[in-house]
Amino acid sequence: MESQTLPYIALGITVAFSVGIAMVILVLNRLLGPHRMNAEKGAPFECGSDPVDSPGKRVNVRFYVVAIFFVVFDIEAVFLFPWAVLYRELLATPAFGMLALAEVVVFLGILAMGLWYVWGKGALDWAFDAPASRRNHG
Amino acid sequence: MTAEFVVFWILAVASVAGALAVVLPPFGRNPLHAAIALLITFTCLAGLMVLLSAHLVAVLQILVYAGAVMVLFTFVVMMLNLRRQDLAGFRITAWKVVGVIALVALSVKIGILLVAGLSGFDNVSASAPITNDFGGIRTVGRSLLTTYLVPFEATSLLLLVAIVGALIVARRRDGGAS
Amino acid sequence: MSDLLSISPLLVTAFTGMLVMALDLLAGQGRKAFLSWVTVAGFAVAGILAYVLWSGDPVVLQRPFLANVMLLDAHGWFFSEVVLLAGALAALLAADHMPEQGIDGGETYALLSFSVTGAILLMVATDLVTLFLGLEIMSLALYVMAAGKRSSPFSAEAGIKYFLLGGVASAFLLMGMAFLYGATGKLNLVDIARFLANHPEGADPLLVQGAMILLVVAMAFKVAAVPFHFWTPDVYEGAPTPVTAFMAGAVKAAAFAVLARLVLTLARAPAFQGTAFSPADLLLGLAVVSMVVGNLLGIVQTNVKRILAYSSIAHAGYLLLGVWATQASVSETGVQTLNDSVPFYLLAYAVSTVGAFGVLALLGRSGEEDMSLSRIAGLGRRHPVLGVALLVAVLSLAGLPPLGGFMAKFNLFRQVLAADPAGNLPWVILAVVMSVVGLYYYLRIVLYAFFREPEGQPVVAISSAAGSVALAVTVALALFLGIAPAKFLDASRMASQATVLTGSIAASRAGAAPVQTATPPAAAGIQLKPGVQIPVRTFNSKEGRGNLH
Repeated sequence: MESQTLPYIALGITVAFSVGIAMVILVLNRLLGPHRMNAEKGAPFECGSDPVDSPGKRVNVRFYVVAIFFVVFDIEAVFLFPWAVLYRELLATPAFGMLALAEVVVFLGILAMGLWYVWGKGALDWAFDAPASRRNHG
Repeated sequence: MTAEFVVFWILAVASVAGALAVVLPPFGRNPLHAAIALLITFTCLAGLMVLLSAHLVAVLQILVYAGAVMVLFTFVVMMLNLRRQDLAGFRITAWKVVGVIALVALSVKIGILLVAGLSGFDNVSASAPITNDFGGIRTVGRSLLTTYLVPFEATSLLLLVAIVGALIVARRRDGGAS
Repeated sequence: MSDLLSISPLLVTAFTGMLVMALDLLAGQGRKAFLSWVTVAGFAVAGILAYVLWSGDPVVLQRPFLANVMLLDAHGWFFSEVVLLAGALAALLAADHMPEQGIDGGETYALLSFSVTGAILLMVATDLVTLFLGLEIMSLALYVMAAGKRSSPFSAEAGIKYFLLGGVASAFLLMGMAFLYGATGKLNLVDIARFLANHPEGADPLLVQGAMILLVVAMAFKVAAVPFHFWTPDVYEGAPTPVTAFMAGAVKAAAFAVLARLVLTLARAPAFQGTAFSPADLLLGLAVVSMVVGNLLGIVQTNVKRILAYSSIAHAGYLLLGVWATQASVSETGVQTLNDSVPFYLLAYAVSTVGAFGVLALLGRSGEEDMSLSRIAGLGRRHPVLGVALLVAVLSLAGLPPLGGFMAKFNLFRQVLAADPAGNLPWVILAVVMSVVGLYYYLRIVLYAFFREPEGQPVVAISSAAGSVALAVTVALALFLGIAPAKFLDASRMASQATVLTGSIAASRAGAAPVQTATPPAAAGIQLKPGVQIPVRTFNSKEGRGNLH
C-alpha cells in the first residue's frame, strides 16, 4: 500500500509546486511591477479581434458531432492501452496465442465500420451540406 | 484516524457537494457553472479510485470524464447558447416540495441501510490481500482481455451504436436522404 | 471453432447490422426498403441457428471466457426467438412506413439489428458486466430509434424521455450490481447465488436486500410497471410506430426474461429468509398496481397508441403476477422455477401487440401522426384487411378465445392459482376483474374501427407488401397460438425451467466436478475475518408448490 501511494504523494507535491510558483509569480508581479493603467491596456487580449461582443452566437451543430465522435474514439483508444501493454505476453500464452491479435482486430474492425459509415455519410466533411455519398452517387 | 481516512472524507464530501452543485441553485442555474461543478465531482471520484488502489480507473476517470466528456458538455452548453432569460427562474412548486421530502426520506433510508450494511465490513478490506500490481494496467488488462473478453467486444458494439446514434441525432432536420 | 458456432446467433445478428450499414453506404441515395428484407433474412438465419443450437440442453462452451459470462440454454433460446420475431416483424413494418414518414435511412435497420443483438446478449448473460452491456446496447439503439423521426417534436420528446428515464434505470441497475459485488465479491450470477446460499454470514443481508430492490426497480422501468411507467405512453406515442411495436414486443420479453432470471436466482438467498422484506412482496405490489393503474387509465385514453401503451402496462402487471407465483421444479426438488406460462405469455403478447401497432404503422400518410380513436373510425369498411388484422390483434390482447392472448392469460392465471390455490385466489380474481375492465378499451377500438362513421378526414392506409406480410404473420400466429398451443407451451415449459440458474448447471457447464456446498469456494474480493467459523446453512425451501417467499 505504501509503495502505491508514494507516486501520488509525488504527484501532489508537483501540483503544489506548480500552483505555488504560479501564485508567487502573480503576487510578485503585483508587488514589484509598475502600474500605469489606460483603457487600451486594460482591454482583454483577444488576438486582435473586437473584445466586446455579444456572447449570443450560435455554435454550429457540427461541433457537437465532432465532439461526440471524439469521445467515442477516445474511449476506443483507452481500451487499446491495456491490450498494447499485454499483447506480447498474451501471444506467448498457449491457451491464447493468436486470439490476442484476433480480439483486437474484431474490436477495431467493428469501430472501423463505424468510421467508414460516418465518413460515407459525410458527417466528417466540414461542409455538411454535401455528403460524400451524394457527391459520389450523383 | 489514518491519513487515508481523512483524505477519503475530504474527497467524499467534495464529490457529493460537487454533484449537488450541478443541479441545485445557484450553480445549477448556469449550465457552465454546473459543468465546472461536475468537473469537481469527476476529479474527486478519481481521487476515491486512487484510495481504492484502482489506479488505471483513476487515470481513465481523469482522461475520459474530466477530459473528453467535459469537452462534450462544454460544446453542448455553447451550442444551446442559453441566455439568462431562457433559463426559467427558480420557483418553488408543490412538486418540488414533494420531491425534496421524498429525497430526504430516501437519503435517510439509504443512509441507515449503508451504515448498517457497512458495519459488517469492519475488517474486510484490511484482510483482503492486495497484489502489487492491483488496479494497474496489467492486472486490469489481463482481466479485460481474457476473462471479460465478451464484454470487451460488446463494448465496441456499444460504441458503434453510439456513433450511428450521434449521426442520426445530429443530422439536419430534413435528413441526409431527402 | 465450435464455440464460435455455439454463439453464432449473436454473431449473425451483429453482422446483419454491420452488413446493413455497408449496404446503406453502397446504395447511396436510393430507397432503403430492401434493407428491411436483408434484416429479416439475418434474423431468420439467427432464429434457425438458435433453434438448432440452443433449444436442447445447455450448450457446453469450451473457452472459459465464454463459459464464464453466458449460458446458452432453452431460456436464452425461447426469448431470443421472441425478440427475433418481433424484430423481423418491426423491420417489415418499417419498410414502407419509414419512407412515408420521411425517415428513409438505413440506420433504422442497423440499429434494430444491434438492439436485437443486445437483447440476446442480455438474455444469455450470466455475468453482470455482460448483462449490463447487453442491456445498454439494446437500450441505446432504441433511444435513437425512438427519436428517429426528425420532423416530429413528439419523436424527439419520446427519444429524450426514454433516454433520461432509461439512464436512471441503468443507474439503479448498476448500483444494485455494485451492492451485489460488494456483498459477495463476485460478478457471475451463478457464483453470487452460490456464495449467498453457502455464506449466510459472509454477505450482509441488508446489502443483498438493497441490491434486490435496486435491481427490481431498474427492471420495472424496462418492463413499464407502475409506478415506473411514466415514460411509456409518451414514448410509445411519439416513437415511429414500427419502433414502438418492437419496443412493446421485444423489449418487454427481454426485460422480463432478465427480471425473472435475476430475481428468482437471487431470491433463494438466506438474506431473504425470515425477514420482513421479501422480493416476492415487491413483485406482487408492482403487479397489483400495474394491473389496476394500467387498465383504469387505459379507459380514459382517446389515442390508440396511448391505449396500447396502457395495455402494455397492464400486461406487465399480469406478467409480474406470473413471475411472482413460482412453482417447485420437477427436476430439482426445492428449487423454485419460473411459472411455466410466462414465456408463452410473452410470445403471445409480442405477437398481438406487434400486430396492433403494425396496423397503425400502415395507416397515415406522410406527416400524419395523430392516431386518435376518431381517426380510425370506419377502418373496417374502408380497409377490411387492416380492420381484420386490428380486430384479431386487439381481441388477442384483450384475451378473448380462440386467440393466443386468451390461451396465454388462461394458462398464466391457472398456473398462478396452482402455485398456491388458497393464497393466490384473491390476486387471480383481481387480475380477472382487471382483464374485464380492460376489455372496455379494447372493445372501444373495435367499436370505432367497425361501427363508427369517420368524422372529418379519415386516416388513409399506405400500401405495403412487406407490412402486409408482417400483419399476415401476426394474425396467423395469434390464431395458431390460440388453437394449437401445445408445442409452444412445451417450449415455454423448457424455457421456464432453465430460467432460474442453479449451481449444478454451472458446475456441469464449466466441465468441472460439482462444487460441494459444504466447502465454500475461496472468495477473491471479500474475505471473512480469520478464525471465524462459518456456519453453513442450507436453504430449505417449502415442499411442493408455493410462492416465492
